[in-house]
Amino acid sequence: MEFFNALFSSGGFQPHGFCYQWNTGLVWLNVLSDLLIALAYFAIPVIMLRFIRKRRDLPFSWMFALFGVFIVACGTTHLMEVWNLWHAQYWLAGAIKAITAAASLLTAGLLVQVLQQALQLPSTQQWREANAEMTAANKELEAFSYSVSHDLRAPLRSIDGFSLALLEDYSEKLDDEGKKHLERVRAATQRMGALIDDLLNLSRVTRASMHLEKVDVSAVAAEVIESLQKTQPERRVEIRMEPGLQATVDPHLLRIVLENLLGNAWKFTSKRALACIEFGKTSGNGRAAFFVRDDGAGFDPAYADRLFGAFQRLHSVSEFPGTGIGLATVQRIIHRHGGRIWAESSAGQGATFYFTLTKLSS
Amino acid sequence: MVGKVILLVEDNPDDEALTVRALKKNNIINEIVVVRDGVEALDYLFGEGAHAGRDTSMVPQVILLDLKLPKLDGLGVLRRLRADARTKLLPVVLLTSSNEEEDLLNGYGLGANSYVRKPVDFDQFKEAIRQLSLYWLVLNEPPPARRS
Repeated sequence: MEFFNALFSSGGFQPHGFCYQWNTGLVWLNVLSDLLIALAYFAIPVIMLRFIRKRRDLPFSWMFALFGVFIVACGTTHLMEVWNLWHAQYWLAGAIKAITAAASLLTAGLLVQVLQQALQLPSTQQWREANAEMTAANKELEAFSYSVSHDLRAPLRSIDGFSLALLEDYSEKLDDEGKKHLERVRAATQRMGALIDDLLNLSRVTRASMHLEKVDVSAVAAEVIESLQKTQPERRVEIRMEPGLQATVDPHLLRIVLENLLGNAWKFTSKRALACIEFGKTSGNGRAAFFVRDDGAGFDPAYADRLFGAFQRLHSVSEFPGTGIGLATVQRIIHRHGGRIWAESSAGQGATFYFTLTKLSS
Repeated sequence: MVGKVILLVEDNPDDEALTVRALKKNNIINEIVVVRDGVEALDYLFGEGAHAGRDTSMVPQVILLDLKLPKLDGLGVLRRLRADARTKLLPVVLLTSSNEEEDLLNGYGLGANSYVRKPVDFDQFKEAIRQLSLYWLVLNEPPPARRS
């Protein structure tokens, strides 16, 4: 208590204005200057706070908090200067200065420690160089895929075309076995063509620039289902759709995701007389996720981790056709949106694929 | 339409044979002129170089143009055709392996009338050629001949 009394007492000192002999000009010059300094010192941390809130990726953001404390303390010493012109509470002023000194020293000390780490942060120039390197690598990759798309397909056309020419023009010279061989050549060629196309699509979804906009996901899903139904109008499939689900995504990439997931559901239910495919949104585990569910062949959960790898297939081609690139493509698109994809199933019990898109809204 | 020429610009002899075969299989009896690079295509159309003295009033009904060609590529040919009053209106179908967005945009940007990707499966290729020739040789009214 005594300490506080001492702190707030003027202890018989004269106020600071006395030293200025109460010269009006001099007093106001000091008052104005100190107030303006304090104003600026209080404003700076507010601005910094706004900055670090907007830039959460910033390294050493705690240093800004420290700067904030230190600058506010400095500002308070200037307010005390004004107060002391009329009130001689110099102990209080001293105590505030001591706090400021501690904050300043702490900041300086920590700055020294951080200096080495901060120096290791890449400079804008370094970022620019790394970026240029990436752009060059991307260009090369593009040239590569272009060449794959154009040059690798051309020989396949020849193999397929001339195999068919043999079948058509020389059929009387070929026995059934020979014709069968040629059919196999053609089937393999066309499969290679499909593989190349799927690989190109896979590399394309990684390269394509993203344009995010608000999309009615349910409407896109309904369109995809409709076009699937057109391919096999004789199939009996019950469709359950949750309408009006929205998300902020790249509409073109979202369509590829739904074409693959719903296409898979369509494909893997093909052996059921009456199948059911469902699209909706769940909020299990506290996180909202879209899902595509079917009651088709499903997969053995022991191999679930292989589902999303390129060229990985959990069913034989004769059982269900496909190249094994679809889900790898889907996963890349989901990751590019900052989301996650996972699946649940047991063999013969159908499968459910869940996916999130970070910029999710409903 | 008989007597109207189809100009095929194609450097790959296999693709040439297959395209000609697909046309024949679809009972297209038009004369098919084949040139094997971009420069020769322009020479043929403008009656220059190896084709000097050709009667250039005989313009093809449609040009089937590959994109990847020796010397001058398909887009280069297209650019020259569209810049010249004599060939500005000629129907050009880009017939190519690539379905890169960039090629499609450039192709249409330079004034291609149509863009067809050659499928690996010859049955599909034949069907593409059938539809393409039905449209460009039968249905489509070509631009009126220049009077000069």
